[in-house]
Amino acid sequence: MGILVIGQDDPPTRQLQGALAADHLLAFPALAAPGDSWAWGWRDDLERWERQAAELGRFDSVVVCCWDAVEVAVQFVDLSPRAWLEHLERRLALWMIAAKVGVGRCADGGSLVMVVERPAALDTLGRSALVGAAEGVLSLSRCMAASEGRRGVRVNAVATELWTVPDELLGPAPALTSFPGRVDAEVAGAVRMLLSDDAVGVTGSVSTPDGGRAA
Amino acid sequence: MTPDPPSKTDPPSKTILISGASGGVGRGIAVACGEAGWTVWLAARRRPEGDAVAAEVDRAGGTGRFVACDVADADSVQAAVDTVIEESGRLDGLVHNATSGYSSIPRSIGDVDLDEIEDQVAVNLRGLYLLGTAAFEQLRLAGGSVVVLTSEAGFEGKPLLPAYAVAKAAQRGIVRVLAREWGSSGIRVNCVAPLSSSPAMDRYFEDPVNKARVLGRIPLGRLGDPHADIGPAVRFLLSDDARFVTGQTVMIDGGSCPIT
Repeated sequence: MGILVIGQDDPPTRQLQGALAADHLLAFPALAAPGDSWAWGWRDDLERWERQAAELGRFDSVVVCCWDAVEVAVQFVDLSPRAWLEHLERRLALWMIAAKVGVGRCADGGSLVMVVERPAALDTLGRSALVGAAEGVLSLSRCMAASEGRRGVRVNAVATELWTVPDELLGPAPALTSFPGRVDAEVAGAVRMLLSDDAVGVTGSVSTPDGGRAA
Repeated sequence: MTPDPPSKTDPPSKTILISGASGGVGRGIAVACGEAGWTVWLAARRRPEGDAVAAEVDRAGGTGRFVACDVADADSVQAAVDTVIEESGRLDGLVHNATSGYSSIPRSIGDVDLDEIEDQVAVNLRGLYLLGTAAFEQLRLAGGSVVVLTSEAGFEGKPLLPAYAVAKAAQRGIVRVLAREWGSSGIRVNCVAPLSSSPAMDRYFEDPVNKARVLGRIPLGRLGDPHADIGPAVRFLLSDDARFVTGQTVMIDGGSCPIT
């Protein structure tokens, strides 16, 4: 029981784990690098990880961190096949399998939160792969909310804008000067709220702790 | 500066490439574009069915041409686009309609496996990447338009279609980014979310419970017709009449899933 965090074993995910006082971090597997072809050469790694993760116990709360901290924006027409594989196809596959593991590890009556980087519309130039993958994750959270409600499991999402803030912001400034916020404050707060009993009637929702940037 | 007023009619020389056009919704779009007198390239894997749709486009008043294309294969997509340019000399519109064969197979998240995920991603998303990058320069030269066939599954939670819903939502996200990136090149990019009769829907409706559930939530009480309902909406987005429309998702679903 307690809180399980599933995600990359990196500082931001560790920071979120700490802020939530989560008991356990289930780290994503190290996947073989994409090859020169379109073949998913890393399928075996992912399937092995999924089988191992299924042996974990159940948790009251599960957080699946779908963060891909790519700092360089690249226009769609300039994306290499390798970058497309890495930042869209591989990410979506990994995050879908992680979500599947998360649902399986979430106890009846529990709560699951998917966390993903999804910049506001004005900040998406050069982010086609990341935004595509993020919208996929948000859709998946809605699907899981619909399927897991029958056993009392709530599924929600938190959409962050932490690493994709452009050097120069278009349009009006975010409402809060704290934008883009911090993992251990704004992001952890939204996740904590959705995991808590205060959100007992909330499922299938997306919380956007971005200081009003996407408003 | 005020732009030129829209022309009364589109140029008859408009050339369109449609993926997955050998049947279903793709066929309806192709015939609707044929009715405008356009040249319609039917990109699909199956030649006999593609040729049959090409003949329908001809009968509708356009010029139908088949080109073999597997949208998940980079060489195949490039060859298809090259063929269109060699033979028609231009490309004004691209419609990515091809979808995975898994799209009508209900599975809960616990049963989804990597075979299904890979197929959904390869056809819906890699297909968009390959078609978009291969066609970009020609679309830029023509001031062209891209339409991607997404689904209400990209908006709503579909408990038994999670991989499909993920792929369709991802398409919408990519389209919104492309609209921003390609606007300065004069290329418009939009989505259409149809709720239409199709071979996949026909299979789904074999279960009367499924049929009653779907039809019961549609205010207009029926599925859309690929030719009469879906095709004209896509044709509009491809046409110059939609020259100020980009980054949008148009729901052609009889009111089933209003965007709020």
